[in-house]
Amino acid sequence: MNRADSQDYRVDGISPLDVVAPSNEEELCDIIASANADRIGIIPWGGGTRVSLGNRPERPCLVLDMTNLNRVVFHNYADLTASFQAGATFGLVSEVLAQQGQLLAIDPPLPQRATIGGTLAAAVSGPLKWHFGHPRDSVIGMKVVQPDGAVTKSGGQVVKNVSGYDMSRLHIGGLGSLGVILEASFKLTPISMYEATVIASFPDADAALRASMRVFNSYVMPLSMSAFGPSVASRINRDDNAGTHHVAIRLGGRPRTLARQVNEIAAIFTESGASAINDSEGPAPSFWRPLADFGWSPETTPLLNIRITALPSQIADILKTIDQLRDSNLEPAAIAEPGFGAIEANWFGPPDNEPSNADTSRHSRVPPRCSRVSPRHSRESGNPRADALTNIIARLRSYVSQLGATAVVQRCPPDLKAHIDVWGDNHPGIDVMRRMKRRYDPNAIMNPGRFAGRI
Amino acid sequence: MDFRAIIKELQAIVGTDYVLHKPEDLIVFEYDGSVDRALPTIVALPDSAEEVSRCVKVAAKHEIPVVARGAGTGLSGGAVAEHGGLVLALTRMTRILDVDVENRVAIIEPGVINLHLTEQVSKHGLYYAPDPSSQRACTIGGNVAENSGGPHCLAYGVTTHHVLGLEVVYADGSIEWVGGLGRDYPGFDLRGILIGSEGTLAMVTKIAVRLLRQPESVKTLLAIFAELDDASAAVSGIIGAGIVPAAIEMMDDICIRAVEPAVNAGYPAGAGAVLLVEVDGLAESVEEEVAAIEEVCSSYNPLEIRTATDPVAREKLWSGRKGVLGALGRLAPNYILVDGTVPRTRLVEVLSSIKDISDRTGYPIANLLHAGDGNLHPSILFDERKPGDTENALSIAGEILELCVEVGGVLSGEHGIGLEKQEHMPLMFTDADMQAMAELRPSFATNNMFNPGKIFPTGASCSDVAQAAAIQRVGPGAYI
Repeated sequence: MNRADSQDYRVDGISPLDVVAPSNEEELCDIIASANADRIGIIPWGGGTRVSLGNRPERPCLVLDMTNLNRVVFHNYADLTASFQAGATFGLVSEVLAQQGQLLAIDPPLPQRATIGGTLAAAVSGPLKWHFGHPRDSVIGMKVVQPDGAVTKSGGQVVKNVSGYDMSRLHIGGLGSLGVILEASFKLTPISMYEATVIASFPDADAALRASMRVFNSYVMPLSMSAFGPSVASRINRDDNAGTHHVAIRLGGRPRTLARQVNEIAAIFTESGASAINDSEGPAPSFWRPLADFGWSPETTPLLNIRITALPSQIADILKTIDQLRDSNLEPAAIAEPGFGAIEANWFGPPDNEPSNADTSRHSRVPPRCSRVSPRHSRESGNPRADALTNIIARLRSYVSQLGATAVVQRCPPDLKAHIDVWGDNHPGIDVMRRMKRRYDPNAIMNPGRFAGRI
Repeated sequence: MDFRAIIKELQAIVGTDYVLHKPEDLIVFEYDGSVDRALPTIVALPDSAEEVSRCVKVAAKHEIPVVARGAGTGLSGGAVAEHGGLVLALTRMTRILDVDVENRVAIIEPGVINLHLTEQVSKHGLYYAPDPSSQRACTIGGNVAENSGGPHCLAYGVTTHHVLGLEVVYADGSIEWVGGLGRDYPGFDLRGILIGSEGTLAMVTKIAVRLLRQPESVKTLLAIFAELDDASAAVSGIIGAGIVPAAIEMMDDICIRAVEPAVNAGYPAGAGAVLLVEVDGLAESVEEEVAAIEEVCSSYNPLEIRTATDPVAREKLWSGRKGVLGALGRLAPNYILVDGTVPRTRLVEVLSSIKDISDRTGYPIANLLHAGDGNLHPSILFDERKPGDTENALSIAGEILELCVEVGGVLSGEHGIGLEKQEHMPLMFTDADMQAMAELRPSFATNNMFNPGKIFPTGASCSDVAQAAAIQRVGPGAYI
């Protein structure tokens, strides 16, 4: 089946050789095996929500649309386990599991489009990782199609298992570089009996982060905790407390447990100088959905998105650095998960209908040691914005690498990718990784050149 | 092979006192907690990553296998030097190098005993979650090799969920960190591959671990049932009620009979199964969840339910469960502990089949279980002095593993494959599956030097296996 006409399957501006959407496992294996025989590159494709992640493909490839392979393989609800084909969307997964009061504790942005396979391959997770950890922590078994077309499996259907090497680790976060995820099995979580969300506003980022670290050090166990400033709030229409910084906490549990947590958090926030505290009962999707989708929904797509992993104690300083990397044409908007040690930083250009120097008030808040990110020689490249973005990436990377933290560029204009490895400059274990690539994908057909170190 | 030269070179690295090669010194390194035995050729006890690296280079130069060893408490033969060669015992590397309280991470050496880490960080209100039953003796390096679990892994996960980074020595002696102190790193997850790789891919010389905040409250519930089936059904009932306790442990009548005289747990006459459930967290959530668990247990005809919150009383409730393995010796001189895991909902059926096997063969099988995870430890009691007993017990163990896999379970929940279960791997995996796994060894360029001949069956078509057979022909000390 050829779908090339119905949807944009370009990757970094490169059109696919063709688009194929196998309807069953056998077709999938045949397509991969024959591409391997002909040394044709393959780009596995789920919902297309993270196609911006990865280095530029080293050659035009076949796009392998996995969305027809979207079966629920099993849902053993009494065992709290389930297995899905790679093309199943999180929308479908949530719907199926919710019928039994369960959830898969992986919450990517755009769940109606994001698929099991794509989400695992890109190691995407949302606010729930604060409590439930990395997506790989929920995986108990996996089936993959190797580049030679053979299906291999590892793990199983049980929650505790050390039988053989855990091969799923190579594919979670591996961007489909060694094979195509066909099925994944997961341990599940009961949906909390009751939920509540507490959102507090603080006069500055420091106060917000201090308050969230106090929550981290309390006995309270949030499902998620996110901190964000006015540039995020205004874009998700939460500018009711304009100019303030927010901490949002999602909680779950039985009635008394929930009440205790809400009260304790409110007390911590009050003591930490919160200017406003709102709590609401229930899962509050109208708040959390736009926040989780931020940076990925069509309305909030940035020019540049960088995922930073660091120690909890480093988050405040990294956020300050991010805030300084701005100029009249580029505004940072970051969401942090304090206590977990993750930041997603976005940079937005000015709205098209707005003069680029309109917002002088933001400019005036920039601390003195900040310098403008547009380099002086920008005229020479003929593309000042590209130069400014490249400069942001370089400066942020140079800062976080001193801390031992990492910064992965998840979205940027494709022409920037000629100059950077979006995964970072330095990859421990790269020799082993290159040998893995040679052993598992000797013809280098899987997402050629797109992974760390241009593997 | 010039063993004198090897010994001299190793002595120059770790010091004369820390190289053992006389048979009387080597014999304590012959076994681990499994039934397998094999004498290493040389044992060296390095004291740093740098010394490990230099020892590995010596072994590589002389083409002898290297087997890493911690406390030797493993139950699958992982630390047994089946093909002789050099055992690197890491029990001198016991330093806790850094505890970062603010970020709740620590960097330790592999020889640190599991419980020591928790003891060292408890003054900060922190602990290290994976708690294998052998935690008073086992090393965290060994836990990394086997991806060890423990009773509390139901809620908190196994070793791989708590190890953030590893400093490793590859087969060429080079030293590198994979992962780090953060929660996610770009690139293939080599950390995740190495954890549970049973020492076959690299030597681990430093470990970065996550620490958890000690819970505000802990409550333990002990429910005694007349029937094993009722206890198993209660387990499913608890999980089905949307509760995931920190631990759900279970033991059957044979365990009860063995342990009661040893620890005086006060189990009533007619007790056929004991369920032990632990819940931790906020005081309110512990109270609410224990109440819900009590309600579930009450609907399955319990003889008695006891609860405790203070540490001494909780320890008393745990004493029976913790004393079982030691007490089984009262019933028979030997036992083989099986480590299969099955979907929790199949527990009743599998335990009943195990009873059938016991009745049919005449060998008593004591069942202790990490029931919440579906991880069974049927223990086949036998007497190795009786001709044929060991073989029969091993064959029963195989039959039980087959049963586990048949119902959708796996060969090993937490002990690893090692030597003990390598021949059973084809029950779970096709040749293609195992071939894909075996490709990890050349990917790490191990030249099959690290812990050769483990995990994969010696008769399958995997490359590793043909080599294992070759090693056997060449004899101890050979290295392929």
